[in-house]
Parts: sequence; C-alpha cells; structure tokens
Amino acid sequence: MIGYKLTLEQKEAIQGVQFSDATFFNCVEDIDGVWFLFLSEQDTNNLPTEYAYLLELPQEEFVPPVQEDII
Amino acid sequence: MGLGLGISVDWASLVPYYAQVASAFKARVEADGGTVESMSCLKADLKVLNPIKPPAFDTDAQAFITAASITDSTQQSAIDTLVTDLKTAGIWTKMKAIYPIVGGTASSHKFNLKDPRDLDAAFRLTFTSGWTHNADGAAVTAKTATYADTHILPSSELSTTSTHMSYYAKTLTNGNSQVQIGDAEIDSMWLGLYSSSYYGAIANTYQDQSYTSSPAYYLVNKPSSTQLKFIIDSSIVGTKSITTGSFSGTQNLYLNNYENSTTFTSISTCAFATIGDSLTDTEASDLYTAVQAFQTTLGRQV
Repeated sequence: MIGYKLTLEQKEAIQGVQFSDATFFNCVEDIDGVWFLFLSEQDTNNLPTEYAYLLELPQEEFVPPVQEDII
Repeated sequence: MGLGLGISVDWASLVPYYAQVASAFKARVEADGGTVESMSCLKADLKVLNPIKPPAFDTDAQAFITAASITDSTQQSAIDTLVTDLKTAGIWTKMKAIYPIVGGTASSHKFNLKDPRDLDAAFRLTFTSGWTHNADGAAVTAKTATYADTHILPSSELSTTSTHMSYYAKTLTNGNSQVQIGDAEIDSMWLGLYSSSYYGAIANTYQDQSYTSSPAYYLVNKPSSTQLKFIIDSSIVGTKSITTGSFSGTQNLYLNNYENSTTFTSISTCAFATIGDSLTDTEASDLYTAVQAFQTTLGRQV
C-alpha cells in the first residue's frame, strides 16, 4: 500500500484538520515510526489549494507496525 | 421540475390534485356566469398561482432531509418510508444513531437520522481522509487507517446488558481482520470479520460465528446480560452465551475500523448502520425488512 510520507512537522500541521465538509486529515505511523497520509481519489480532487503541496510529497510503501491481536 | 425556488416538484403526482381543483374552480366561475379559456390553460395557471401541495413527510424524516440537503424525490420518499416503518415496528425509540448514508457525499452521509443536528453531540459522523462517497454509500477501498467517528462513547451512551450494532455492507472484500464497527479497546465493542469468523463483542465479552463473507446486513445484538445473537440479513445465525462484561474503552465507536490503524480497516462500502438498545428477534427482523426496503428503493440492495 502506497501513501504520502510526512515529516513529523508536516504531520503535526495537518493531523485532525478538516479539509472539506465532514472530512479531516488522518495520519498513521508505519513500523519505523514514520508518518503516512492516505488520500482517496475523491480526497485528492476535493483538496483545497492550500494543501496541494501534500500531493507533491514522496510516496512510499507503507509497512504497518506489528498489531496487538484483537481477541 | 424546478420552480427556481429551490423546490423540486413531481408534477405527475400533482396532476389529479390540479385536475380536481381546476374542475371545482371552473364550475364556480361558470355558476357566476363567467367562462374559462380551457381546462389545460386553467391547470397551467393553477400550477403557478396555487400553492404547491407540500409533501406530507414525517417530521423526523423531514428534519433529516432538510439537514442533509436531500433533494432527490426517490431518496426523500425512501427516508420517509424508513422512518415510518421503524416507528411502526417500535424500533425508532431504541436507536441511539441511525446512519442512512444517503445522498452521495460526505456532507449528506454524515447525518444521524435520529438527531440530524450538525454536531458531534448529535452523533454525526466525521470522516477521515481515505473515503469515497457515492450513491452506494461510503466506501473504503484499501487498508488505509480510514474510519468514521460516530462520537458515541460506549461507556457513556450504551448499556452493558442491552445493546445492538448493525452494518449494511453494500460491498465487502473477503478477508480477515476487518472491523465494521468498533472502539479501541480489545474485545470491548466490535462487529467484524476475523480469522474466517464473524465476530461480535459488546461490553468486553465476545463470541464468534463461522460464516461465508459476503455483502449483507450484519447485526450483533445483546438482548440480555448473558446472551449474544448474530444476525445476517433476516436470519439468526448464532446465539451464544457470554458473561455480563463492562465497558472499559475511552474511545468513540468508529465505522470501518476500531482504531487508527491500517490492520483492521474494513474494505467495504457502508450503506447503513445503527447503534442502540437491544432488539427482540421480531424487531431485528422488522429492522431488516425496513432497511432492505429502503435499499431497494435506492437501487442498492444486496
């Protein structure tokens, strides 16, 4: 799964920020503690110009951290 | 057909109404010794001059339609029928939240039919990045830490002995580790797929049921402190014994995930969901009937 790779500062700037009605940026850490952002095509099309820089960020393969079992 | 007033009118349904009014008006004019040009002209005039007969929607349905800016007459009718069906079946008052996911956009999908105020306190949905909204519902197409926050905190809003959760999966990718509704605490509250089973957990006690994954209406019901029922569409597929349990979570219930992680993101399209008090078997069956009728009217039933 490919996502946009963020610096900590970039993550802090957008995490939880609403960018369209009822939708907010959500970032997630990979196995190495690096922050990633995933956008749907619809998100990309609705992205306000002030956040267009996000689409220029490097895209890399996301490796999830080892997850605690749900049961 | 629009009037330039932001009102959509189905003229076909009003033709008998105007014909009746026109006939009565013609009779009165002629009784006074006057004449009218023609019935067709009169009907056309009346469409402009006479007040449009307002749709007689249920007040709760109308509140949702207004809040979610639903202008499509088929969707409006489907919502109205859904509300009246749920009220007739005695289910309406048992619901904490009803998410019809209708309208095709995040702006319309976010509203709770039970309380369509645009507030977290009304349990509206707020969506993370990663969703795709369309006429089929709200879709997640990859494991991308995507979810919708219901703003329902189980320990504050739900009962440990009488709770249900339901999720209408218009699409559902067959795979393990997919939570359709859940909170962050292990075992606390979740409905989903795991290790070739359909799992339900309410108040820190869980059970599983073997199943074949497919798009369907999934419901987990805790009708008593020691019983958990699994329902798919209209069938009770399992009844399990559990312990009473308690809520320990500090996180709200999410749709399509149980925490901010990629592992348990559900790759599915949510076309309806409810959270509320437990239901009797009859009420659960009636809920399915009402929801399926709603989806059929919208052309997205599974």
